[in-house]
Amino acid sequence: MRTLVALVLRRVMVAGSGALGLVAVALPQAQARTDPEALALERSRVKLDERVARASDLLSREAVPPAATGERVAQWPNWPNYWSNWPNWRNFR
Amino acid sequence: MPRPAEGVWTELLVLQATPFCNIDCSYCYLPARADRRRMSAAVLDAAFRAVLRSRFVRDELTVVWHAGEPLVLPPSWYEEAFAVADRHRPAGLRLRHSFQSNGLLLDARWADFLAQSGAEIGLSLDGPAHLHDSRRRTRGGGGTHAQAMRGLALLREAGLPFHVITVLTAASLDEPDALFDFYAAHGISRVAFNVEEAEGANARSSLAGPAHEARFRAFLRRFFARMQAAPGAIALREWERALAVIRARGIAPEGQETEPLRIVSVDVAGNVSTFSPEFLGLRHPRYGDFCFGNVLSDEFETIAARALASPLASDIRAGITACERSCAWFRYCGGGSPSNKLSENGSVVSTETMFCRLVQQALLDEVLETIEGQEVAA
Repeated sequence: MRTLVALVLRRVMVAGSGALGLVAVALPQAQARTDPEALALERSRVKLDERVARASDLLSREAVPPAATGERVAQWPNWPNYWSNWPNWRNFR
Repeated sequence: MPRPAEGVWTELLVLQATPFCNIDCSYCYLPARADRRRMSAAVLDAAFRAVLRSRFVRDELTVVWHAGEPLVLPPSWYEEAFAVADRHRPAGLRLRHSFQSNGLLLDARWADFLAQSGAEIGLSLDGPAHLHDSRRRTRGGGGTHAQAMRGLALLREAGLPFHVITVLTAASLDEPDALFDFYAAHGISRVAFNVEEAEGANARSSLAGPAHEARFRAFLRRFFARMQAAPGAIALREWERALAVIRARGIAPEGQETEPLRIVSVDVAGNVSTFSPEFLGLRHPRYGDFCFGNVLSDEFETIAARALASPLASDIRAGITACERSCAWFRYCGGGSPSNKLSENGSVVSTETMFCRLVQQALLDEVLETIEGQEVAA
């Protein structure tokens, strides 16, 4: 009997947490759908992400050859840790 | 060997050998560049002991000598300083020394020292004389271009590698061709653009205002076009940074300036700050002098604990969260620079700055445009 109760309780808890998870995901999405500012931000994000993904594909397929872009990072030591190859502090004068 | 720290580490140590600068650039943010003090042997020893032996240092650390003109002190001073660093360097730690200099004091002794020590050097050169001398002047108001070019010639003759940092001002934006031609004519193959910012002693940037964004974009477009017409001639930090971000489809959401202790700055008297190096020398009602202790009197663990638990750290984190919630570019930027936010917006708990609009947004957008244009042309 105890086992049965425990099993039922666990099922209820799992279902409950799943429902909570759905609410947690759905609420911001619903908010984004109704808030014009949030909607515009989401659109900008998606558009930018798509552009970057496309450019990344082009670079990896060498549709844009490195020589044509002047890219020389790979020739330097320590790549890909490129930050260490540059004076990184943007405020050097 | 102390246990390594997880999630918190130091990769850049900025040391202010002297706050003094032998010139007086009109856009400089440093507040005490007439101060002729030099770092004492005691501070030097304590700084290296504290940072190099701390559990926050991993397998590589870059030491940058700046926040004043580092070459004001002679090579012999740095020979001793490098020896002190070596004494405190744990086995296995790669230590790189780097100078950022106006180049006026470069001479044969310096060339020998750079060659022997392997230290890296960057010159601050704003392009042709009329651009450079309009802002990079002596205290008497004279130009510094001719002397800086002598320093450049010396590095080239000695076969020493170097990069050039050019501060872009409103005047520079009309002259992408003049800048490109200048670099090409003088064998300058590694270039970094730093935009003039309103910070510290430089209360207003010549690039402030919406009109300059379009000019900045046009400048980049033209400069990129020149780079593509002469493949491999010039490696531009901004271009390569953008390419790296594009290839990775984003960056880690943590930056050198936004994570505590990633950059450790030690001033001439041994005071320790972190986050943006420009914080050293500033004062603020909430954050005081932005310092978390002194290497002469405090254990580095104590300094680190203060920094990690500081209102500045929590406010910077809140500013980044605000960026994440409000900016489409967050994935490619990581949350901006705290010192920019403080200077321009009055609070680190804020979001977009001029630096964001120009160097994050406009730059990435123009690099993407260039790549998209290449695809069309192919």
